[in-house]
Amino acid sequence: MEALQALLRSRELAGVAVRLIRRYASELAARGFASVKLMNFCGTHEWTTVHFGIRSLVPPNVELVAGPGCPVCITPSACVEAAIQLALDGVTVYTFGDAYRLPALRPVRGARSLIEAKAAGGDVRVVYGFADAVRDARSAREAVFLAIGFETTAPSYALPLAKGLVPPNLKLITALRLTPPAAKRAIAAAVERGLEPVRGIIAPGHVSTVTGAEPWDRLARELGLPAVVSGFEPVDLLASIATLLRMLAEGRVGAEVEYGRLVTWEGNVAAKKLIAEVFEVADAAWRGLGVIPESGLELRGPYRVHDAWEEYGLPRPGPEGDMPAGCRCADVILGLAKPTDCPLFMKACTPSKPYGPCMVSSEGTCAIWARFGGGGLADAVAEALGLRQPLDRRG
Amino acid sequence: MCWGVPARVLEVEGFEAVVDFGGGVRRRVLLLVDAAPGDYVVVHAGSAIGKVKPEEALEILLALKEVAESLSPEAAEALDKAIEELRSSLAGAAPSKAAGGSHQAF
Repeated sequence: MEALQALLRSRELAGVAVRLIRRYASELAARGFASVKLMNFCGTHEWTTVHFGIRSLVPPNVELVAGPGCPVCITPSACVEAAIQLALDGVTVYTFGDAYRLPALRPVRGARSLIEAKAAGGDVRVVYGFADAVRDARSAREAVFLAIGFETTAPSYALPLAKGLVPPNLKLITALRLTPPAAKRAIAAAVERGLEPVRGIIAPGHVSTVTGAEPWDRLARELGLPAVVSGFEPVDLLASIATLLRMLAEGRVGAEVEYGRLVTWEGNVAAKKLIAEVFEVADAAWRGLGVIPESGLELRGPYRVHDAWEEYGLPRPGPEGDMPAGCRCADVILGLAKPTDCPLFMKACTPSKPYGPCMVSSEGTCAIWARFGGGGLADAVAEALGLRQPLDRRG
Repeated sequence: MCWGVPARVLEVEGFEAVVDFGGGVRRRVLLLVDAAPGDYVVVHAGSAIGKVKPEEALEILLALKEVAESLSPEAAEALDKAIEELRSSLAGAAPSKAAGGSHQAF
């Protein structure tokens, strides 16, 4: 099994990490931490956690939860509705594959998603990146790009715009969002609901490639928590969890970088400059979460000529959460509920027929849980690490 | 949307590069890092967001492939080819660093 081999290449390190996790977890338990809740903010971290059965490798008092980490899932319905409307009005709409199937809460002239708009005759084109649309739009008439994404994706829009490469006929339905403000919102939500508070932040690796670790350090210090910027391999996550528990045990706050292969303290300075040149930070709506202060990017100054909201007078996303009836995605996105807590999960809502947004993207928490179920590779991995006994005793 | 897939840079043209994902998959991407032909980069949503060593590219591919198997057999197959190609290219190079050597010490 490749996973096992991948882990075995770092067997020693993974073994050390798991033992350290157990040591610090019992130390924390002895000091009254009945449960240590750690939250991730990246769909890929949740993939690794579920697929490699990381939850089974950590002691029961360490709880790993997924926070808002999927840019597709949190894209407001109004953005999708705007794209559908324009497609049906004869405008060419470019989109990432992930957002192609994303359902709107309110159908537009019978179409609930861009895929349905295309079936109804709309010119919807799935592209690999914004640059592909920039090239293609030179020959097109009116065109828009459904510009979703977190900080990782923002420079892909900013670079062609800043360099004047984007033709005037191509506009953006801006739906770019920033992760630290959403992390702060999710952490506050647990406290507001009287749930176990989040004790540590597993910060997203690729977002931090652009932003650097610094924003996570600032957030962690503000909240009095430890944060670790983590990579995506199982050993990365185990090492990050061990570091978080050690920081908790030592009473340390602030951020550390585990993903030193790609992430620096200051991030990609050139990319950050491009983002600041083209975009300004604004309050923004998140599906399921409502409006979060200073959590979005909107085109600034001269770049507003590419703003599809203004060009077409589209209704911008409002403060409503935009969740279909009965769907618990809002709580899932905030890390307040597990997919299995939702009555629709794997009944009315499946990967082939998604009802809620968390089931649409392959990085939505519900879609991940649907594909992998519970176990993953935990048993095989535990055996390979010589950790079989304690797991067996746990039943 | 947060996937990052390693690829080898073939050509650099201004802000863009042609990269090889292995298995015959080549694409034109935006360059957000300084990279030269032969470098390995991590590509996210059509942009090269970071540079990695070839050994690290292999580690990322192995982890991705495992996950991709449950998502798309085609993707897993493509990654398989990429892994094979990178392995044979590494076999001709100097011995790689110890596994996990790039991770921060505890």
